[in-house]
Amino acid sequence: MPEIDKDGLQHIANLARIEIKDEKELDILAEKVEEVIVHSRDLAALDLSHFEPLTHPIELFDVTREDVVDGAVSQEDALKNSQSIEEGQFKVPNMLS
Amino acid sequence: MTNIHELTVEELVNKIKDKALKPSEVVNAYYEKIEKDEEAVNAFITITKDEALERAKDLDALQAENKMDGALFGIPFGIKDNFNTRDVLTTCASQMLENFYPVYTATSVKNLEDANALSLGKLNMDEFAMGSTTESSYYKVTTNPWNLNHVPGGSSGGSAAAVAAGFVPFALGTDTGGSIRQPASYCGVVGMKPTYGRVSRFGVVAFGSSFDTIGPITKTVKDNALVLEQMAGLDERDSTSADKEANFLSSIDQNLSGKKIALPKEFLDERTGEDVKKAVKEAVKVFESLGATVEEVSLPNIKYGVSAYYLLASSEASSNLARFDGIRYGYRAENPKNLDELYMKTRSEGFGEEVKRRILLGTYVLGSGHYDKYFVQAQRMRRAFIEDFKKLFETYDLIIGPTTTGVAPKLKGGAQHNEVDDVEALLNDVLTIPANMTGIPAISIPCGMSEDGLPIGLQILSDHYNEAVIYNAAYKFEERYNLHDELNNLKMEVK
Repeated sequence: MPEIDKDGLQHIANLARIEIKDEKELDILAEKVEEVIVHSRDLAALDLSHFEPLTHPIELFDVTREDVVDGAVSQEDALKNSQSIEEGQFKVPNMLS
Repeated sequence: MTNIHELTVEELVNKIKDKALKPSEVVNAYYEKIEKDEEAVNAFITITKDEALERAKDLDALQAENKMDGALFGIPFGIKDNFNTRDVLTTCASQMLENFYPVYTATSVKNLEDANALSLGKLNMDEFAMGSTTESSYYKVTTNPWNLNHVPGGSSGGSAAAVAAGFVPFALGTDTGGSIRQPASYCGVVGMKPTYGRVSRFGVVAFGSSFDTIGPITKTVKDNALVLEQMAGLDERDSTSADKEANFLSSIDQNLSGKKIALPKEFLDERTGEDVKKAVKEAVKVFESLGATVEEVSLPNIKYGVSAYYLLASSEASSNLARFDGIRYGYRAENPKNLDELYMKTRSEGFGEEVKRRILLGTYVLGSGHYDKYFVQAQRMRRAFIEDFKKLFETYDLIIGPTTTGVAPKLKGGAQHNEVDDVEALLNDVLTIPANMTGIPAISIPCGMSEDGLPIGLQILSDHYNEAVIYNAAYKFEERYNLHDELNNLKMEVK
C-alpha cells in the first residue's frame, strides 16, 4: 500500500502551487516522493523521544543593531527584474476570474 | 617555465607582489586556458571577460604604484551560480532565473573582492544546488576533466571542474549535504565545507537554511586556508554568522604527533567501494607515520542520516523556494487567467524535475499527519547526531573517512537535462551528510586513484570552528600524497 496515492500527491502539488501537467508526470513524481518516504520508515519507527528536536546546528542569539538606513535597495533596482510593472509597482493578474 | 594557469594561489600572490606578473597577464592566461578547454568541460554558465579585464587593468595600475592591498590582490576566481553578484546574471542553473540580475553581491564574494580578488565568471551547478552530478542544470552538462565521460559531481560541479581544468585558481561552492566535498573528491581537488556560521550566507540563494554553508575549492590545502580566511567572518546581514577569528595558516605546518583520529567503521561498510576502502586504509598509515594515532569507532546512527537530511532539507527548501512566484523576479508564465494560475504555471514551467520533487517531498513532510512522524522525528535524529559527534570530540581531535562511497560515475548518456536522482544516488551522500546535520567543518582532499584513473577523496572532520586543526592535518597529509602534477597534466579527453 503506497503511503502517497495520486490524489494525495495532487493535493500536495496544489499546496506547493505546482501544476502537474499530465498523468505521466503525476506517476513519476508520486513514485519519487514515495521512494524517500519509504526509505524513511526505519527512521520513523525509532523511539527518539529522549532527544529534543534540533532546529539548528549552532547556538543562536538574538542579534540587534542600531536602526539606521543602510544599503537599502532603490525602487528602480527592486523593480528591474520583474517582467510586469506599471507606474512603479509590480503588476499582477486578477485575483479572481 | 610553468604555465600561469598551473600556479597555486599562493604562488600567484607572490609573483604579483614581486611584480613578476601583472594581474592582467594572469587574467589573460586563465581566459586562454578557458578558451582552449571550456568546450570540452562546460564549467561556466556566464563568462565575465570584459568586466574582469577592466578590473585587472585597474589592479595593474595599483601594482605599478605599489598599492597592492588585500591578501588576494589580482587573483582570479570562479563563482558557483547561486551566489548573487550585482548586475551579473545569476541563474542557480534554473530556467526560473534565466533573466535574473541581482541588485546586490553576496557577502562572501564581496569579502574576496575587498581582498582584491576578481571574478572570471559564474559556474554551472545542479539546479538550485539539488543534485550530485550537475546534470540537473537547465543549461548544460559539465564533464569531469579527468575523464570527459564522467560527471564532475555536484552540486558544485562547475566549481570543482573549473579548478581541476585550470580555468581558475580557486572557486566558490556551497555545501548543503556534501555539494563542495563530493565534487572536489570526484575532480581530485581540495574542497572545504566550513563550520555552519563561519561564512556569511547573505546573498547566496537559500536551499536548506539550517544546512547551507559556503566554502572554497582549490588545488592545494594552503590555498584553501588562505581563501577561507578572507571569506570568513561576522556579517550583520546574516544573524547566524559567527564572530570568530579565522586564522588557519599560522598552525598549518604543525607536527601531528599526539593527535587522536577516529575512523568510524560505518564509513567503510559494504556501500563503500573496495578501491576507496584501500585508499582510506593507506591514508590511515600515512597519519600514523606522521605521529597521529588512529582508532576505529562506531557511529551507529549514521545510517539514518540520509533519511533525516532529505526530510529536513527538502522541508526547508519547499519553504525557501516559495518565493519564486513569477512576480518580482525570475521566470513568469505567459497569459495567466488569474493570480493563482500565474503562480502554478510559473513554478511548473520554471522549475526542473528534481526541484519539483524536493518541493513536493518537503510540502508532504510538513503537512498535518506527517509533521510529527517525519519532520520532528528527523529533528530528533539531528540532535542524536550532534550528541554522538560531540562525544567523539571529547576524545578525538579529528574524524577521517572517505568523502564518497565510489569515484565519479559516468554521465547518464550525455546531454540529458534535468536528470532526477534516484534513491541510490541519494544514499551515496551518506558520508558527507553528517557534517551538515551537525554543522561541523569537513574537508575533502585527494588520497588515491581508482583502477580506472579517477580520483578518490579523503574526508577530514573536526569539531565546530576547528578548521585550523583540519587544515593542519590535511596539509601534512598533502605533503605525502597529492595530485598537483597530475592536475596540471590533465588532457581533457575521454579515456
